[in-house]
Amino acid sequence: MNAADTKQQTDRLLDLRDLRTYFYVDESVLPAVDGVSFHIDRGETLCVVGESGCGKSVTAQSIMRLIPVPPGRYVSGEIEFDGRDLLRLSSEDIRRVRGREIAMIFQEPMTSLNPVHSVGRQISEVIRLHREPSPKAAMKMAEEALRMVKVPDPHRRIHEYPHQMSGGMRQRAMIAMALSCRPKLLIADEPTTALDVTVQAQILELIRQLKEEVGMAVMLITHDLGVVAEMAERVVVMYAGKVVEQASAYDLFGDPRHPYTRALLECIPRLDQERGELMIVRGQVPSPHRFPSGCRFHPRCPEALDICSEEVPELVQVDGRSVACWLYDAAGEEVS
Amino acid sequence: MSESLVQVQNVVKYFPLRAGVFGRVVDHVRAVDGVSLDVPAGSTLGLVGESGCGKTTLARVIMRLLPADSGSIIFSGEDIAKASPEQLRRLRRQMQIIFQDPFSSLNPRMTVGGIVTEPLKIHTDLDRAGRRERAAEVLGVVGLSKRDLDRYPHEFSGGQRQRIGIARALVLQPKLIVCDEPVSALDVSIQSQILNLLRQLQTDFGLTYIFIAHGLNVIKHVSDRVAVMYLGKIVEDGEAHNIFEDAQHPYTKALLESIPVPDPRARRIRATLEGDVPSPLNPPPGCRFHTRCSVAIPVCSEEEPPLLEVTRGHRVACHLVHPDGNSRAEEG
Repeated sequence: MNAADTKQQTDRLLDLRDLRTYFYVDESVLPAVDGVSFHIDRGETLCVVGESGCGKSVTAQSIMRLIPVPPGRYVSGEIEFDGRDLLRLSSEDIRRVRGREIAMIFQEPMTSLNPVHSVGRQISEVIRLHREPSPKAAMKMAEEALRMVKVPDPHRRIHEYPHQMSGGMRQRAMIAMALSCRPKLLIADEPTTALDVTVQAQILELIRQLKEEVGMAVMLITHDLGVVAEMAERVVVMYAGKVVEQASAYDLFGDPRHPYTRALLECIPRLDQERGELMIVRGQVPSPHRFPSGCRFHPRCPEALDICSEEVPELVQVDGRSVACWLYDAAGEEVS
Repeated sequence: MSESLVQVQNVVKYFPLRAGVFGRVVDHVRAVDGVSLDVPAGSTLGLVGESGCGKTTLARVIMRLLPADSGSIIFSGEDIAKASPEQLRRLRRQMQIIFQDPFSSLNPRMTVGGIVTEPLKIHTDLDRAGRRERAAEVLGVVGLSKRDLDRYPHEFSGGQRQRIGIARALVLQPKLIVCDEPVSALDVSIQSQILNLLRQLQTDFGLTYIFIAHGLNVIKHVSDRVAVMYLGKIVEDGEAHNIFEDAQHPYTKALLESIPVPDPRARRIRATLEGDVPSPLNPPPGCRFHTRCSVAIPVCSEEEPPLLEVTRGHRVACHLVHPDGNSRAEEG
């Protein structure tokens, strides 16, 4: 459970450099992901946290090359995964990466499973596609996959359809499908948001255990800082299409630098605090139709300076963490 | 404690399950199965439990949006369950509801003014100008402005839409507002705005809230009293500090432990609860929680534990807390 900042460059699994994914709708440009850079090491759990419209899901879908083009477009940047730039792979090559090397699970397991096929058939389909054994052997492996995600009575469950399962069981089936080809990276996009807190705890625990067993890296997208604190080794905080802060979980929660990160931490209702007035972040989450100028958080920032509305702050890296805010100088010191 | 605004006594609500060509009733979903509780005037009762535990059904029965099968609901001294249509119309003015999803609970073809003035049209004899004036006033109270009267819901963000929903609930100056997961669909930074607003309104207008949530962290922030439901029954209720500092029921403890704490130093193994909520169609015999309870003893699968006080105002339904529970319940 020690921090991951001691890892070497050679451990790098995914390196996102200046990714820009824009959408072109009705003659307007929506810069949903606008110059995002971060990396994930092998075996590491990285949490991407942010509110609606911050670009976290578009970033994930860009890594999987799932953005529909048009209206979307990868305007610039590189997504280096295990030595290859995913943005430059042919569509045939990217299909071999998807599911086999990078797998993804989504928020709503009901809509991401096919209602007319049994879960066993859906899991074995992935196995047959990427690992090419016979249908019978694939079904056997699917059963094994369900057992691994602790679905009780997998021999019977494998013949069930998604509607016969509870939300928690469906999410387990999704995870079984995602892990059936032993991916190097699992992208989990709000995997527990639709679930009850008790089931959420089970699923998070399961992801944590499987990560150790399979040795994969996990990119977990969430808006819940409680989930981040439970799971993350490192955290990327996004706001309005940009990374505003990146740090180890311990540093981020112990010493949040960006005013947005601080605000997020202060405004959530916590079990370990007394009842009372909550801190608030004024204003609304901006829509990509109208991102503010300069630092996109400045209209809501309690500490905004004049420069914040004019110039975009760079993401400055100091001591293994980084922050994009005019309150800090190039050495990472707070400007007084 | 001040007197009760709402007293719920032994309320039961089953939904019939029909099958076959003739729609024969084959079974019942026991959504609310014998619930009694008190909501003191001017306070907030937090109602918590996993999905399917009956909390929304209970709230709807309290407002008589659904008729109760049996039991009574006394609101300001009158029994809602037996109220005549006339009486009900008068009582309805005093109780309003705010829904979870601000996107589907506002009619997209009505202006904000239309949405907020509609209750006035039904329940008051104010003229059009009077209704608009009152609506403008209420929009001001919830942090919107008079200019918003002629705009449509799609022009607003989630947080602002929830404010419109609150304005609609507030416009008749009700005594009771049922908040059904009012912040679960909102962004984190917007949630606290809405929670603070609801708190402010309670102070300003002396409102009573029944606040439904599945997360105990939100409940902790708003509630004076808390009731924990499991499969149609209350398993524990009490003052907020009873629940948060001295939880007795294994289910309450498990719910508390499953809330992730936003502090990586507090990281721990938390998945104390195995499996899912069983179907309310066929609840387990005895204590309904025994199939998932880590400390269950043989009696739990045989006898249903009664809801009994441990300290004044703090009730728990568990055989481990009250080993002689059933004999005590019979004497009482």
